[in-house]
Amino acid sequence: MGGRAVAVLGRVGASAALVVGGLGVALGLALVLALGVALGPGLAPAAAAPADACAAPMAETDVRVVVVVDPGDGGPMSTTCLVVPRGTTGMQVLARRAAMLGVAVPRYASSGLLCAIDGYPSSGCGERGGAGFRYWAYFSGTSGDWSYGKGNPFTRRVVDGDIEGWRFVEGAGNGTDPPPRLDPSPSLFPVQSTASSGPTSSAGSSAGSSTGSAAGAAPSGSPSGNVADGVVTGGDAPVSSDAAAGRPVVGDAVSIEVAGAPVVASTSSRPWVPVVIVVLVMVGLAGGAVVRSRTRA
Amino acid sequence: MRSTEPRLLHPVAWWVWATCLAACALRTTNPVLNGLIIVVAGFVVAWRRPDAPWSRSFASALRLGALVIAIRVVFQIVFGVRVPGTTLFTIPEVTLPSWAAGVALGGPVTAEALTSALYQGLRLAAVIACFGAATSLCSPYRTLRALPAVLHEAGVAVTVALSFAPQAVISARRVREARRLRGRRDRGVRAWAASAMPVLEGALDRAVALAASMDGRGYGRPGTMTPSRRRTVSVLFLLGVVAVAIGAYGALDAGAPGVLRVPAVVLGLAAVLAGFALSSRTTGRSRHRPDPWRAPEWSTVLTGLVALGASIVTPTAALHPSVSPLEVPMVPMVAVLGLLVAVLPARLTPPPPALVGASSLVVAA
Repeated sequence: MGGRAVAVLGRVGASAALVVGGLGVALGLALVLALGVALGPGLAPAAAAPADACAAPMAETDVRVVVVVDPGDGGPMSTTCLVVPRGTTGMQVLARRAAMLGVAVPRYASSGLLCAIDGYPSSGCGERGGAGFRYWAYFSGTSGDWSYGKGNPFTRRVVDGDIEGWRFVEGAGNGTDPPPRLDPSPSLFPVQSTASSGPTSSAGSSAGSSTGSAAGAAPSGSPSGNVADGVVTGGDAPVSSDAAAGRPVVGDAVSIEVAGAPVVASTSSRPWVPVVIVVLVMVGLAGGAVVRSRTRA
Repeated sequence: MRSTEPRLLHPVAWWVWATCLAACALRTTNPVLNGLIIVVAGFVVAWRRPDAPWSRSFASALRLGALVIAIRVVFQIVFGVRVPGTTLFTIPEVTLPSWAAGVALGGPVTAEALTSALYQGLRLAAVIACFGAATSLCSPYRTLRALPAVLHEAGVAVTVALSFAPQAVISARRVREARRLRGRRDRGVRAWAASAMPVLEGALDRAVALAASMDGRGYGRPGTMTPSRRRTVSVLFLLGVVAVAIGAYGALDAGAPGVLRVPAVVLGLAAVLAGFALSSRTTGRSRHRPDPWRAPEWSTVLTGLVALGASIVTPTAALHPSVSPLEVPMVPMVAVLGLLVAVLPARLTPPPPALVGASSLVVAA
């Protein structure tokens, strides 16, 4: 009798342990999500840098990149010049651009497919349209012509003077899809005020040297870069051409029109309650199954 | 006939139900839905699996699913898509030559990338759980009986192969016992290597004996098909399979002409079915005690179809939650209710007989 009671107790204990284990897994997943939700918006502004940093002297460890985003029929085109640390990938450039302009961060599907830039399109990912797939096509314009899908933006590290193009197209998904409606040329970069090497007596050079130290200390693009630029411009986040007007900039072709919606706090708007209810239902069913199979065994 | 009288459900009913659930899992990366699919399959298995050697495979399917998730996460960390976002930690990075530019090796690992690996691993685990449920709910031998007559010969080969694995386990246990009785070590790599050959030999012997006895009972005898008809059937099959392959490719390629999409698939399926019909007519095969198809079978199939239908009417955005930016997955109520309907076979179907012993392993075929 005693042995039987112990066996029954053991079964109950084992099923309880399984239920608790299931709860643990669910909670773990919830924690990972919550962590991402909590940290996501907190870290995003860290990548922000003054947009006219392109015209200022930059550190040896930095490169200048122009990102052309053309949503096709979805809105106006935007051209953005960024200064990023050497070794930044094309996708990280895109994320920094969103942080700098204060627009919605690029949205990805779980496969890694890029679904939306600047919140456009607001839903769906690579959906099929009448003439093919509707997706963001990736172009490189560094050579002076747009070339389709040159390199993998997840791994390709940008080099100084790169022009990255993104166009929302509806097409077959190959090189016949149309490129951004703006010819890539070096004139998309604002003229830099001075060379970054060789100290001169101008204000720009003192900013240049301090930029170098700041960027050297924080190569991952932390906000400390703002300090150096604050000396020169009083650093204002989303740029306007008059911010650049006071600088010794000639032939500034940069114009920024942001097509997308402002940053959407999509994470906090969706309640956890339905998820918790379904997880509880799952735990109940799993518990029932475990108890059933234990009592049969 | 009341549904409470113990009997085994028709295997095709369980397979349709499980395939519908697997299709639901394939349609979504939503962890809430995929978790629910695993739980639903497990619940039905716990209530309706027979007492038979094959019916313990669901636990192995769950373990395999956990392994798949773990491998998916490790691969994501080492080779995965470098989704930008919240960096959790960074592993050393290797710069690959330009011809391997599509592959990333090392680099920052973000919460977004890990979440995407978890979602995709969970989806695969759910599919594995669905097929694990089907294999533990119905006897492989009854499933073989339900196959169309054309696939009968292939099915016999599968049966012999299926019997090989349990035979190998039994044979391994026997060889280990023998080693222990002789006072040799029965653990460790050397003992394992020494017993591998007798185990394989014993299992193979048993499988061959099973094949011989099945042959003696008339399995595997050639039908009465004439050579010209055999050729027609082969051509129909070949054309059908090629047409289905082309159609599947056309359905995925946006640039393919319309003829190569749905029409090719339909034409291919028609050719394959015609081949089935032609060859079934000449394969003489009798059935002993055919499995009945009654109300519980219909309801099981129906619940699976309801779950699949609910998944189809659910908007894509709810089925594929965004991982970057990270968001709390949506809970599409219709899909959840559809999956909860798929639990009902746990009550609607008759309970399995108290004992489907090992003796019916061979006899049932």
